[in-house]
Amino acid sequence: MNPIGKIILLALMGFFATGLFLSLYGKSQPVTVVLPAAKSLRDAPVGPMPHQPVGMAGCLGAACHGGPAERTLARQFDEHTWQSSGSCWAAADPHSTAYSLLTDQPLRPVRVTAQQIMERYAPGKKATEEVRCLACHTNPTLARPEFLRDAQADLFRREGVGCEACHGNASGWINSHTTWNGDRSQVYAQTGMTPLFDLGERAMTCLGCHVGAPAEADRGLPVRDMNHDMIAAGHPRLNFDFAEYLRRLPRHWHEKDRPTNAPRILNPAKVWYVGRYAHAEAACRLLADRAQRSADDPQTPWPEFAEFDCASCHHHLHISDRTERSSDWRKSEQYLAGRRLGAPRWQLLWPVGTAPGLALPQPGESPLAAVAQIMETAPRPRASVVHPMAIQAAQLLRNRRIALVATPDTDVQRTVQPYLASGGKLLPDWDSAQQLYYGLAAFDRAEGDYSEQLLKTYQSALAAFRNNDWNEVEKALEAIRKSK
Amino acid sequence: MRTLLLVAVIVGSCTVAGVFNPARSQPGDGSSPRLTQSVPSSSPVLYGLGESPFAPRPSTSCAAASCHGGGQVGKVGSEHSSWAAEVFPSGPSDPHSRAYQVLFNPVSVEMAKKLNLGEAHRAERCLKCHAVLTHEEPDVRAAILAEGVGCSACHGPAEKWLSVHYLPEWQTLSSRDKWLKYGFIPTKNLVARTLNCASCHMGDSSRDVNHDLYAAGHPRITFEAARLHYHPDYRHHWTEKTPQPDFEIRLWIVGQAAALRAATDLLRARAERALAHTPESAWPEFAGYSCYACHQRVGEGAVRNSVSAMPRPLGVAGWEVLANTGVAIAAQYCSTAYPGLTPPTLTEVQRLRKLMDGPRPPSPATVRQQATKALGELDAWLAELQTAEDGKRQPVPSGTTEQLLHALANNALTRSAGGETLLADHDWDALTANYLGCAAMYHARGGRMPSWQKPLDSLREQLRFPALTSGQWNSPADFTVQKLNTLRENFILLRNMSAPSATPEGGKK
Repeated sequence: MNPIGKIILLALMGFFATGLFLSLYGKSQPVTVVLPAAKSLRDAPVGPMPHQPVGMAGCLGAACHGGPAERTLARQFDEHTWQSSGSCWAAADPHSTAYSLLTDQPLRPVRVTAQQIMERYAPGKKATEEVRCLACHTNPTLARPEFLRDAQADLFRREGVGCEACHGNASGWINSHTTWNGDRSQVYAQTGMTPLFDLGERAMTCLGCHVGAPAEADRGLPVRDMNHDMIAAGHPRLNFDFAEYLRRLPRHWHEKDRPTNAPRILNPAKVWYVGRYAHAEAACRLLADRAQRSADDPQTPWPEFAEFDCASCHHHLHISDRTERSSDWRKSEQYLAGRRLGAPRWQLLWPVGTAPGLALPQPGESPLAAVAQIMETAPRPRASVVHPMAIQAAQLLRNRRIALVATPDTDVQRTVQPYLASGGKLLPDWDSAQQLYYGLAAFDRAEGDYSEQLLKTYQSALAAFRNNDWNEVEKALEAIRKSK
Repeated sequence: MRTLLLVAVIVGSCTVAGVFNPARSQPGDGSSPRLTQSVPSSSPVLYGLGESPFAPRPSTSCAAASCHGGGQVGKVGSEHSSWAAEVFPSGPSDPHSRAYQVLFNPVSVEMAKKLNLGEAHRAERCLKCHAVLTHEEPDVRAAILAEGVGCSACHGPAEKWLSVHYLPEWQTLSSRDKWLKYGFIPTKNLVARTLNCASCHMGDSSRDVNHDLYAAGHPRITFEAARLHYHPDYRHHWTEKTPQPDFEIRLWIVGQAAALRAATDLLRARAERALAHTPESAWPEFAGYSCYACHQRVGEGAVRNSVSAMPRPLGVAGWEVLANTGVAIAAQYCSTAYPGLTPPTLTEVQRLRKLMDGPRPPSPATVRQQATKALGELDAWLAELQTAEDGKRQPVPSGTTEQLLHALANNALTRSAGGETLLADHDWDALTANYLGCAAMYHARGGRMPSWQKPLDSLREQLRFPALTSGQWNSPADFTVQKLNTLRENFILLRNMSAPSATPEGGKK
């Protein structure tokens, strides 16, 4: 070895030895050995970052949440389920693949790759370097421009929508959460853990990405907004139903009542109804945010087309022909419901908002009626008018959601029933049919197991949805509604 | 012989009575109508645009057997006979003669009901384009209305010129005087003719077929002057004096300018109405954008822009793409078609297009301002074209059809960063505008270019709306990447076979 090499080697060894010594004994000056990556995260030089992420490694210890998951994966839950919650997530939860969908190696089959989307959305940029993509495909708090080059943050982001994306960054509670007893809502709020035991809060957590949400500086959350530009670039439309998505998720927790800790079974009808209110609330919050951002950000379009029902515009044009059932219904009073002909419909949020062909709710009793009306107004909705109205509607919906969560299951079920059973002839309007289907399915689950016959009808409806066969969809939905 | 024909055509063109809001028309007290002489002769006047102070006359004034009702379809002296459908029903007739009757059919009745317009055949909004609207006394009004888009609609209100247009002195009048002093629209001038077509077929500040009307069932309005002129359903009642290919080359060029002028005027008016928050206004007005940019199948993933460059921000429908696609080429070649003319820069038009095709819908106030500027620019260009049309025209240099075909096929294409030839724009309207331009060049050559025919036929096949079991789609419902690819290949073929190796570049100077 040449002398210069020796000097460098010695210098390096000396440097590391000093570092080791300082890190072990020199607690007063730990700066020298802190990894630069961790530094930028912990110091949060820009904007508040109230709680730091610790990453999945902090949760998945074999003695913590990384135990064997056979029982959990087989949907057998008990008071020990927590021991395998992390393993269950890692093994089966689709959220674990969220980040990979932004890369060249998606872990789930996709029709349009992130690369194809980015070629059109932001040519020359990678999806993994675009905060708008990262905001939902990873832990949202890590989707900040200043963290993009951070190795530690990058490592965490690769976990996808991991533990802390939903449960909250763990720096405040990772040590203490094993010892909590009694009423947890206060300690959750203090330490930054998301109160997912509250059905409404759980729904809002999902909806933060599955609908979108404004930035929340005090929680370190960026804007989450999947808009028409992204859809045009190839991103699939967001179709979300809280009850159905929750049911399909490989569950990694034991459903417990708080603070009693008694096991509980969620009522599917209530989950659905709470989910719909939360959905409408999330939609109004995002709408208000879009209206506000459009005022000072030239990159935020207004009106934002993603606010509207896709099929309002994206439908084929027929030469009007009486023999074609599907050619004229968009001009019917039932569908227009007072909207001017040719004006796109604001998104359908049934049963909080009205839906064509469904008798309830009547426009007068819908908390969304005013927002819908202003969004469908001519010459165009004014952002400055929409903003306060959407805020107000979100607040109203939030109050109702909270009240609803506290309402006994049977009462909710009784409230829901007339919405599902009433109504005349359906229109071939895809969104209302789909939302009705989810509601019916949740209600029938709440009633008990499906009969053989009913199950067959549901299956035929689902097949008809997939085959784009409206006549069959209608037939099946009518048969199901008659049984209510 | 030529002079005779000229006289015949001029006389033929005068088959008329008038349009253009006669709100200010004189009461029928026999007092002499005032002459419009307030416009100084230096400022440009586009013939037939705006309101004429004169009143229309029913075509009974025109259709006398010794005037234009000779009864021999296609012959000089039988212009009205050729135009009117019922009288001589052999073969296709002029659809304009049925424009008013259309308002009684079930679709129109339903549309009016849905739009709360009352009865379609009484609604001013419909009558503005489907008939000649007048405020004469009821029976005259009824007679004029019933004729549909009758003589006066295109030739101008006949009040002043009816009794003089056959006199020898009439020939000595300038086009400008015929319009300003007599309300006669000199349709021989292609600018006057095309602008008048466009005022209904595209719309203008007072005629607006908007998205509400489409939603209620009105067919889409599209306008491309050169090819619409030869629509198979359309029976000409005059003989064109200018020989081919010059006629169609000039008509194509003038048509581009006129269509965009009408679209810009319409846009400006829509912006104004949006600012005034009138109940019938909407903003952005979807009818000003490419229909099939929104009305298309979703969820096809990568298909469309895999063979095309994206000329606009993602998710943005293009503004009046059909009228905008060829206009730069028309501007470039106007000095070839009319030697001595300076090609316009159209800077304000480009700014307007950029504004309209921007990532977010522009505010009506900004649009009104920019559209007014663009309108000024287009009007100045059209005024020059109009003067050139009035003057003695040199023959268009030979080889111009090839050059224009090349330019249009090339206009449909672009080169990717990787050197691959892509479609410049996969919007149906853009592709159709380029196709129609190419087809006009083919017909300008009397259809005697067999090598052009095959790719043109294929282009038409790809652009045609598919058939439906119960009729036809009203949109390119099956516009797939395969079709786009075939379109691209055929535009490449056309471009290569008209490559300028044999013809000088551009044709300028």
